[in-house]
Amino acid sequence: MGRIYKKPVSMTKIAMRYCPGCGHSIAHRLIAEVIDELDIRERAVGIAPVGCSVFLDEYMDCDMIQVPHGRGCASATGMKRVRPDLIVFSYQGDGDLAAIGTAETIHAATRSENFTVIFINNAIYGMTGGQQAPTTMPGQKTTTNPYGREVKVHGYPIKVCEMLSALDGPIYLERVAVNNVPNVLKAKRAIKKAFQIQLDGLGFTLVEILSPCPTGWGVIPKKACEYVDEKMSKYYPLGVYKDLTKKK
Amino acid sequence: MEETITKLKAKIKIIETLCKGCGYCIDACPKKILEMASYSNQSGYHPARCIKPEDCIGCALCYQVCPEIAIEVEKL
Repeated sequence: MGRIYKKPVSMTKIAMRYCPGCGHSIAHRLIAEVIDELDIRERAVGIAPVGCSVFLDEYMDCDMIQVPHGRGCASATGMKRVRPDLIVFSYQGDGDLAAIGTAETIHAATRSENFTVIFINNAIYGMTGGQQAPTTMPGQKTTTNPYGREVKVHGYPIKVCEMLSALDGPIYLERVAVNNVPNVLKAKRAIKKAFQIQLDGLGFTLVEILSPCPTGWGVIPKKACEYVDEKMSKYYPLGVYKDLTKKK
Repeated sequence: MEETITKLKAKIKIIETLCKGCGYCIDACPKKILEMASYSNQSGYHPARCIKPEDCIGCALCYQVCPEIAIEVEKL
């Protein structure tokens, strides 16, 4: 008898209501698999964001809470300080973490709060109809700037991993993608490592996931995956940005 | 003629009602045994289907990329 690959135990039977080819559901599955493998389902608490993944609490079969826009890291700080035995993870998108929640994220990181942030970066506001997000790349076309992002008018995008790696607080920062099989497997390793660091009580961890958004970008799913490889990975290079686990 | 008996390496099951027809599994499959069906499922998408289940090697690459977790693979 070999291994059976099927829906992880930490996910409910509810079918996910994302667009075809969305990267969110792959990220959900990876988190659920990691929770299963580390056997922490009974003490895991997840934070659902605002955005496409607002129904994350329906899909995950562990304790979940849905918090207002951008307040994921603030709520996670409260939960982790009251109940240090819990395993807290905050799942946030780019409009959530990099726009309205920037202050909470930076301060939680610099305090090195002991929880894990899963940051989904798809360079667009997916749920509201594909508007320009703080992570939209220069030249990328969205519904609110049909001629492409112009840096003189709209400014430069925020590179969250690079920005946080300048701080002393974060323990582990990595950027991964979920557009093909090798990247999905790397993403799972990164999420598992982040959860393991939290279990060891070392401090703040963030995994940024470049995710395809075919509907928001207006392309077919296959082209969206190629776009992540050709454009996004060039502007947002994949890799480990900070890893202090070896020094401590 | 000698008949060769091939042992099944893996079982693949595609839950067609969940499939949204993104086609990620079709690109990921190293054996190219998946294809888009000509009919639609209840949501109106053309689901992926396995045309040669006996050729499946159980690598589960289709499972790894499937956003809907509509593919179950059992390695025998």
